Amino acid sequence: MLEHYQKNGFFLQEVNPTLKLFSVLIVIFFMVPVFDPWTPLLMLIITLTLIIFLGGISPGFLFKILIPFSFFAFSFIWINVVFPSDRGDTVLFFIGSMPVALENVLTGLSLGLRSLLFISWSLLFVLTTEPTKLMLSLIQHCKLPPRFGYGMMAAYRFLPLFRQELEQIRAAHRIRGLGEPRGIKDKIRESKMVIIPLMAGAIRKAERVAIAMESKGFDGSRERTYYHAVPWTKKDMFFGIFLFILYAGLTAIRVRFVI
Amino acid sequence: MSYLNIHNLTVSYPFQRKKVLNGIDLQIDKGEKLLILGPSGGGKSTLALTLNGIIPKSIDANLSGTVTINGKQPLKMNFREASERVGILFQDPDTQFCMLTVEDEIVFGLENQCLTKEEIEKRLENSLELTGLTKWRMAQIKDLSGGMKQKLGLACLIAMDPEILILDEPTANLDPASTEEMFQLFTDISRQLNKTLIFIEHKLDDLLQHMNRTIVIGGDGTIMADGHPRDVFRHHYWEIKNQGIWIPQICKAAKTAEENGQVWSKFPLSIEEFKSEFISSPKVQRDQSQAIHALQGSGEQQMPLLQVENLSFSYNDHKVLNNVNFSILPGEFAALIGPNGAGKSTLSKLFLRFLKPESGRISFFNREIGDLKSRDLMQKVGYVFQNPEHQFICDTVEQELAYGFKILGWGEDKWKERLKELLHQFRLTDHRHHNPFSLSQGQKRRLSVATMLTNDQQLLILDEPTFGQDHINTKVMMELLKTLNQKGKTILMITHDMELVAEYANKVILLNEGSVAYEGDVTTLFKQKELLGASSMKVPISYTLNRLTREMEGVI
Repeated sequence: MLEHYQKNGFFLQEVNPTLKLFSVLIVIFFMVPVFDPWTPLLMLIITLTLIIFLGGISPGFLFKILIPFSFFAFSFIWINVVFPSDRGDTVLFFIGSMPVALENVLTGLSLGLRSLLFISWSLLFVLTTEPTKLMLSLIQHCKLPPRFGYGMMAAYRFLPLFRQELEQIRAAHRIRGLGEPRGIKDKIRESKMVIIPLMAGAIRKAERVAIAMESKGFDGSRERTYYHAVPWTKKDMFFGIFLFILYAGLTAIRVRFVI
Repeated sequence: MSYLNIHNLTVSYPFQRKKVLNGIDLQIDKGEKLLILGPSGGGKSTLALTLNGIIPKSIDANLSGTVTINGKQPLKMNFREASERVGILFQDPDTQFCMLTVEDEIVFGLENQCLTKEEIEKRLENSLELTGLTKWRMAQIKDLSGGMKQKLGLACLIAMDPEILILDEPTANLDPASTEEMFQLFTDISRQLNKTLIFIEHKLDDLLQHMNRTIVIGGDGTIMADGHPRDVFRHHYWEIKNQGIWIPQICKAAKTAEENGQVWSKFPLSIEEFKSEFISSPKVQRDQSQAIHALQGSGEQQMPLLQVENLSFSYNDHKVLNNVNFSILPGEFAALIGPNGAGKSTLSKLFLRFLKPESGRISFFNREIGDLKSRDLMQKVGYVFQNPEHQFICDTVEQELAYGFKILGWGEDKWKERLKELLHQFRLTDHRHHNPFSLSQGQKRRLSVATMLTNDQQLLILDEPTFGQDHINTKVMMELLKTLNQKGKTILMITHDMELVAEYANKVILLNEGSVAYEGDVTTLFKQKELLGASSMKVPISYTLNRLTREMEGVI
């Protein structure tokens, strides 16, 4: 599913990964001085619209990912209402004997929406960027040494293998009569027993892959050609202009209404 | 001057006294098809990695003597130059790639060689074509089967166009159907490209006739024999056999015939050659017929230890098991076979209760699997996983074995004797204080089986017991299982090695496309060519040979 989205050829998929990565940083910087809930709300709506219409991601799939994060965001509101640094004066209603103040709800809302915004902008990046393209772009445009770039790719391939192996180890241990771990002490003991075979396997695998890569003439240097160049295209220009207008516009609105 | 010259090459690893290679002298010309044999740990893979300079550049080793390829030493080449001369296909399909798609992986090597985009495009298409992977150009590597991955490995090498291709046990982890496909590919490639091919020992009965030279490296790291496979297997047969080195089935049969008076003008390397010269003699001994023992008769109304009835299971909407029925009776040595994707691993997950049957039932000792407590099940059934390391939970071999006893609440006086017995039986006494992870592959495998017998379990289920094991460890392991079976243990092994099935099993269950296609004795199955073909299984060569000798005798 993820791979399918990453290369479905919509607008965002065609934008240079380096630019997209940079845009994630811009969002974070832009949001630092923002404390009202309206700016992150507006931004969040814009982001989700971008992901759905310019990234071709199905809304159902997107919201399914966002649900657990929404709980996380809601916890900000809760914390700000229950443990505010300064309890606001505009009391809306009481939960039991605890007053709920508008100011605290708004701060919580702002923080919660902000976290959701960061998450959805990261999703915009992750859901529309092929790992291989990201790696190539980082090497070609950001001076990342190929040694690390290709090393990261090799490691990325192993992630699903690790999960599989972890399941097998657990299964094998249960057969030995270990049963499900109960309590913290048991869990620590279990993780120790799982980690050793997992590490042993990982080191062996890493060594083999390294040998295989070197046998194919890889020496980690920049002295290599690229079959797939990750280009800068008009789409990057459009995306850049869009980002500029978005932030300029938001700043203008904020200057007028908020401050 | 030959293309590849090795002079007085000696290699040893740090902290190891033993010389892995000891004074090797070897000249190899362009276009030779070479087979290297030797016991495990006998320096075959070391030799391969020395040829492209990985040893000693990346793997620390003490090396003396010289290697030159086309007049240049690998030691003085950078990795790119080495990759233009020597390409290696490794054994494990999962750990020789670093990219995500087929195209990217092939391109990776070509980019390392600093080729232009046009050249890369040309070579990429050409190698995809040669290996039949054109349709999979954009496929994710993780979605490919083991056989396809090895094809991709080969495609990468062909694209890089080295003069020497080294194939280091490339089919050791593949099922029979994929193995055969790979062999076909190797033969085609060697014919079309006329590269120098160096094969490192594995079961290559079918390829033998295409080899024109065999080198045997002994346990001491020296060259024991060097020559045409006909001469090597004819004149050095016993030396090779005594080293525990794999010998092609055809040569075994030919040698046996020779001892019984057969005179070969041309020592056979293929069934055709065998057939054309073989004259049966009444003295011919058949050790095969006694290996395939008939089922222990009598057995009326024996209670099955394992019974599977009308079992079905699906993942999502995909039916993996469809109305599966079979049973394992006490004393049987059964093999569960079938092509990849036939449902073998799903079945074993159901045995282990990691999955619940959709319908139907599985019973052990006449009790439904769902009703048994984990503890009861554990005491009666031993299950050995494919990777022995996964099962280890203690710091020493002894503790590992004692763990099972302790969990049952036995006192030390009660299990001390039994522990000693197990250590002895599985040849682990000398290693009792070692960490399980520091054992050799064969020892690890034996320990993992031993841990499953601590409670005198009656039924032992083994998932690919010889996976990743070399010839001699396989032999030791299987003989052990045979002894256990003769002492009354019931064994069910999941395997795709048909030679093992022919030699050891007395019952076989063939699973194909989610249902049992055959259940019964081994010889009857081998006669059903169509059934085997339909499930991508293959009659082992030893059986074919055996049939042949008998038929010939029948004629005369």
